[in-house]
Amino acid sequence: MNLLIILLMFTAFWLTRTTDLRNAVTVFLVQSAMVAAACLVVGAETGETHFFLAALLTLVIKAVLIPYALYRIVGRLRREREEESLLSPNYSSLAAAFAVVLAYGFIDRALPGVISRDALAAAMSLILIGLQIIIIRHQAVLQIVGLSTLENGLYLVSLSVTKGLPLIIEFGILLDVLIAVVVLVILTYRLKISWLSTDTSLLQKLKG
Amino acid sequence: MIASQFYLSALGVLFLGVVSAFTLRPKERILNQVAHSLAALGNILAVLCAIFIFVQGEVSLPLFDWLVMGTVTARLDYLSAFFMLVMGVAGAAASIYAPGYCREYYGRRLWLMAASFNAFLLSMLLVFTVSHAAAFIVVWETMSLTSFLLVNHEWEKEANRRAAFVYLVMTHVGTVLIISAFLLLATGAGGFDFALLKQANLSGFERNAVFLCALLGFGTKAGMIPVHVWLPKAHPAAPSHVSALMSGVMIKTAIYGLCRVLLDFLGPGPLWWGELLMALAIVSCVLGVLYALMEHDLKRLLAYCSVDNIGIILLAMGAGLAFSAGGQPALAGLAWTAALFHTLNHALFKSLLFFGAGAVLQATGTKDFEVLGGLIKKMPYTAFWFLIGSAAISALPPFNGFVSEWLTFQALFYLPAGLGGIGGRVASAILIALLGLTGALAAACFVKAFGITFLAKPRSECAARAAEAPKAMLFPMGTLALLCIGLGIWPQPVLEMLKAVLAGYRGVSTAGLMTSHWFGLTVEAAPAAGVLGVPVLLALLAAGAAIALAAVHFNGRSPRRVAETWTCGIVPTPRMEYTATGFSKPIRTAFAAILRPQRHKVVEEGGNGYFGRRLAYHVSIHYVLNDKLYRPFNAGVIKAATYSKKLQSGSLQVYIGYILAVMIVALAWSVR
Repeated sequence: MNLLIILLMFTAFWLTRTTDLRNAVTVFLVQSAMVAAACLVVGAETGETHFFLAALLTLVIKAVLIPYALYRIVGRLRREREEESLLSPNYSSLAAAFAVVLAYGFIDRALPGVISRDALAAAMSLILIGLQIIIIRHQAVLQIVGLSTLENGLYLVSLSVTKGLPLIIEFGILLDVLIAVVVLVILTYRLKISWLSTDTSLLQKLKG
Repeated sequence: MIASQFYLSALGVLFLGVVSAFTLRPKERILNQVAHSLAALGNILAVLCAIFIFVQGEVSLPLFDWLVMGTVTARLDYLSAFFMLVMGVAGAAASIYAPGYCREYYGRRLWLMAASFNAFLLSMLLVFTVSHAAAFIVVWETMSLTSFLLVNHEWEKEANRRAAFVYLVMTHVGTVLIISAFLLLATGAGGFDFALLKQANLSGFERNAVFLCALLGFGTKAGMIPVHVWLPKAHPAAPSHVSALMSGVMIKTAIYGLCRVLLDFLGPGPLWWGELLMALAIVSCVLGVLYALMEHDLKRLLAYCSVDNIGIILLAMGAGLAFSAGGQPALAGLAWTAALFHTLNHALFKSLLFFGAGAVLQATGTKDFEVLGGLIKKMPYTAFWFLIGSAAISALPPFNGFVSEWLTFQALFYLPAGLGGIGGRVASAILIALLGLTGALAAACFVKAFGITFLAKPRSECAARAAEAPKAMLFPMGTLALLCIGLGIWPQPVLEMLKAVLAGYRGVSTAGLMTSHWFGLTVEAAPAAGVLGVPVLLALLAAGAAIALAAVHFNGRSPRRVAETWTCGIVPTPRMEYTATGFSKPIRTAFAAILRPQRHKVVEEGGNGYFGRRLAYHVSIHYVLNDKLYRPFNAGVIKAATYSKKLQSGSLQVYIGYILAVMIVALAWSVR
């Protein structure tokens, strides 16, 4: 479990450094697979069978369907790459490190001595880093990846705090994510058609 | 109880009126008759219900159970019944008047107007009767929205849209304050039912907050200065029968709300409540009537006059509060009686006057009486009923306006007993003087309105071509006029009713009022004793008239010749007549400090320096409150909005940044 958490943090940091769209999607795929694996591990530890089903669902939706949709749109967006981020990769990694420190600080203050301290801190770091990615990057696809990272963090929180959510709720959450990403992919494609670019800073022109 | 049967059937009939307006939409002529007949029937049932309550006693009937909020009850006590009576009489008259007036709305969304009209009446009936704070807010809001639809009915005109917008904004500001007042009361009482609110356990500070919120909130609906701005815009914009209802009844819902809060829920309070209310009221009186006098739009003149009359009602209520605080329950009873009686009277004569204005508007197509004139020959009945309404609103005996204003004056004369000290005496003198001034100016205002509109020669083609209104419109006007005379001569039934209404409230006692002389208005509170025998007065008037007639008769008729008025040999033309602007000139000059008139004169030179010149003359006045209160406020709001607009950068990243910041702050707060 600890190994998985370390690897998850590693993917999150990697996401702050990559500016290539296709690479980012691949990293996200790996990250989602790890979350599914974490789900399996928790299932093995607690012996609750429904975790295995949840892991399977996570794998199918987050590691197959969503990356597939993102790869498709990235394939259509040639010559789109992240330029002029708000922060350079080095500084964004530094900000991510700060987020991790902040997450540990919060967890220790709020829940001192909790068993799943590392998992909770990692989950919160994922949430904060996901938000950071949305703020720092201008490319729509990278922002979608940021949102999905944030969602992975939330999922990890639910995994480490509870003895597993009821299956129907997990199902609902995953479906929500799938639909949100599909809608975002469609919107990204529309953005490309209307503005000839998927740089979301262009949207400032919409302000009246 | 038979009263509750009447009540429920009134609700049902008015609801049927709404439904009928929707279902009969394609057949406008039938719709016009059916929907308004149902409205009239509903109002008559409401009147019957009120009468039965006064005869048989108070009724309370649970309407329905509201989840969480508790049972909603309609408690038909005497106060509700009195206001139901006010609404029923004015509403029935308006509903009978409506079909004739609505002919000009054929093909102009009549169905919407008839539906809103019925829904408006229904919601007002509920406002007067539901005994549950949350339900009250709901029906209050329904009333505001349906009346908004009616004000906005002729939205083709820019001015009407503007009026409706201002009305919507102001009424919602008021509603926010009313909700605050009720929530404060409900948290103190632990429930929403009015019976619980009565026993609300509040600290002194909370009581003051409730008072201020209720005063400003209901004051907005009542048209109290300084929150009156919507009223002179909205009343002229609405169709005339609706203006009559809005001015006659809707602004009285605010008086009802204030009575509920001040008499029923809060009870006697500190002295400054009464002082504040009286100060605002007297400003409403004087400014209202001054602005009315400056108008030459008939309906806007009447609207400003409503501000004036609401001021008179609030003045008496303020005196009542002061007396309750000063431990003078009998005098408080007198003041509250005056306030409620004036409420009824104003509903009667203001509806009558708006009906008259509507008839003139329909016959001539204009509300601007600078271009009217001579209508007394074309529309004799309308003119006569309008004259009676004018006399009543000017507080001339033997009309009903006189009785209630006389009672108000009586209350003010005894003000030193409530306020005490030199302050009380000075306040009493000032208030009496200003109220007297208000009465005089109101009389001048209606001399102007009646004289310019109905007398002399027609000033334009449209006035010359006018024809009398149909009988269906004259009938309700005549009925209201007779009621104005009747209540002026014989106010005792209503006064007895008001004694019952006010009997049960804390700090108010009506036991000693109107007891000794069956024929007169008597005040016999401990420090006060006054008698006014209206029948005696009437007999004196009649005797005087009889002597005058006899004198004329015995002198023999002088020879009679019909000819033009002699004007030094030239034929008189309408251009020689007094204009409305000219008529109000002396008062405009006398009150120049408040009105700050500005004139714009344009002379188009003819060939000759002495004649053949054309002169365009236009006078405008400053509305002090708009300049000193509303403009700075608006400017402040816009400035604040401009500053906060910088938050809206339009950049997605910045918005997400806000979310991140809020999240971190929330987390930090939670682990603090």
